[in-house]
Amino acid sequence: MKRFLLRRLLLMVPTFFGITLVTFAFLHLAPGDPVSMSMGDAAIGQGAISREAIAHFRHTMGLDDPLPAQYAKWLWRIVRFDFGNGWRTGQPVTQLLAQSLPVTLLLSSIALFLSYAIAIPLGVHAAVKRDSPAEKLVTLLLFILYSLPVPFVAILIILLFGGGHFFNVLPIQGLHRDGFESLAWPARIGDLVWHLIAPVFCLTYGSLASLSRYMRGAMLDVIRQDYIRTARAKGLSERAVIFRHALRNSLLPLVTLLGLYLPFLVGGSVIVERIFGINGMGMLAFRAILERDYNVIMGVTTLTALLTMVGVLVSDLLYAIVDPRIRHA
Amino acid sequence: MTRVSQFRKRKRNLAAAVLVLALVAVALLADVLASDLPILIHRNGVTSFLPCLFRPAALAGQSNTALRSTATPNDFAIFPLVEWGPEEPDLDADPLSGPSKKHWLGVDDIGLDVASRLIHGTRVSLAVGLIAVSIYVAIGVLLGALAGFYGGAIDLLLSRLTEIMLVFPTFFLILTIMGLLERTTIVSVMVVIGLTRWTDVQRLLRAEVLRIRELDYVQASRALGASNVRILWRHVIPNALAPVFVSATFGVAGAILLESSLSFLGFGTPPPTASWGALLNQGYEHAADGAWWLTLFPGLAIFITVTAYNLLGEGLRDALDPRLK
Repeated sequence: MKRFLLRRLLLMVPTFFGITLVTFAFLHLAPGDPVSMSMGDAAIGQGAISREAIAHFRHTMGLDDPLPAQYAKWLWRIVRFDFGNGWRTGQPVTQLLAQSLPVTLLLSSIALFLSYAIAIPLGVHAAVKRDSPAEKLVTLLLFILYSLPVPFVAILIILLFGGGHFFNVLPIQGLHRDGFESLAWPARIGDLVWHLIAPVFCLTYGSLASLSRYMRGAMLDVIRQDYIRTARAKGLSERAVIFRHALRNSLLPLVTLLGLYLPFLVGGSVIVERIFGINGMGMLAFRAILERDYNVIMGVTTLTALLTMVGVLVSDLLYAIVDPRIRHA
Repeated sequence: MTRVSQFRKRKRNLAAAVLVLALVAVALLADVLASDLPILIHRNGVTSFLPCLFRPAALAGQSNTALRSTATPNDFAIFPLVEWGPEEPDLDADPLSGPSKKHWLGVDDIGLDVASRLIHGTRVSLAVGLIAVSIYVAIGVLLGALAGFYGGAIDLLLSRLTEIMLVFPTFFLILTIMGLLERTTIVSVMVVIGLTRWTDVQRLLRAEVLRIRELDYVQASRALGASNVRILWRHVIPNALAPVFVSATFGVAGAILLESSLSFLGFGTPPPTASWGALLNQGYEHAADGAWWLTLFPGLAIFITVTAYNLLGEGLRDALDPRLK
């Protein structure tokens, strides 16, 4: 197990360098260099800023160093998690990330948990009760949900329940109501849950179809195995066969998917957070891209890539824990 | 049973195929289906064919409504199904008015006809879907075939590259690149999606090639003295394409969803070009005004298109690759 972990961790190093290289390339391929960014294109164009001043600025910022040297310097800052300051507020990027990451993690962990909690029983049911009318109906419903675009569903929720046109029962902006600080903590949690319903629904519904389909496929594979036939031959009840013997092994593929769902959820949070006015990573990224706040963009990109790497590592480890064949391979 | 008859066995597959073809027809015929100029007009003794397409100088500044009101008994015209252009607002209509006899699916905040914009938006969606997927299938097939066939250092390098691409949340990566571009066009949407989503195809093809290169007919061809390039191009790649074909069909659905999300956030197809995602964004802006037609119709259009491609993908998968069922 130790060797497995070590190998996995070592493999992360080149990947991390690859990520920083790609991110650095972005910085340099992006139109508009830091000089015109901080001094203003117009000022340079009109000659209001002398050539000497620009050259001096480039020199002090290290922009006339050769690219590899710039990359090394930049990498050294990134390794220490120093992304500079955001443009709009002047706050350090690390601080902005620390404020918004918990919000997105809260949203995506609830969404992830709910997706698995709903998709696993659905998948098992679909495999065991194959070709029954109920199974067909559920599959059809999930297929429909899978093809519905997130912005569409989110705006429909606003129109239907958020006071857009019909009912005004669900809050649709932010995660707290006004005067939230004066509430007692049970009321605070209730308020938070109430605000989470719409965004969490939008993050969850789409993955149900694919997850439950994976679960169904995995379960069908396991049910055909010899040891299941043995278990049935022993006279075990169908319940014991499915839940004690088949379920555990059929969960394996879903464990690996866990890591791959993380980038999906972070990506999805941009739309959901934008629509429901939630100040998480998605909103931070959206605003930064809109305002071309490069430091923030680079911070968010690096952090999400790192998080995904960790997610993949965790799911690999989980996989190795539940399946001995992996760690001895 | 042949693959074609396997595919045709299910009514659902045929329905999906018909729907996809119908959408392609709508995209191709958009200018004839919805335009501010007629399909055919005979006016002042002059006949012009398809002015909606060729926009002759003689009819500059005209519209279906104006032509109809100034027509003499000798004139005649065939008007399009939707009598409004996608970028020509109806200045007489109340902004943000709902479905009516004049505007079947309502108008937006500047008087543009929603039905016309939906019909023309089909073009953007299908073009982005098909071309972006073609780009990434080409990249994925090439890199996957190289990695699987040659193995060794090439494989290691390409696998690392794929892994790096995988850890960037794709949607986020695409959004960032689109945001950094000076200005976005429909072409940049296609290219950026194409350059970032090839990883699945690459892995699929690599696995297939790894399997196929050990098969007897490849060995036979090698024994006959065929070059690596010939073996790869004539024998390995054609036989490895079935799963890629299935994945590409699902990919079109994915790319259409992606384009609509990008346009919704304002980083996709730029205005004034009509796109479904941009319409959804207008629906969001005007949700508080209760303008449900700006959300419902484009949302349904995306849903139907995505469902059609997903169903087609399922049908193809069942027919081409029964193992995946």
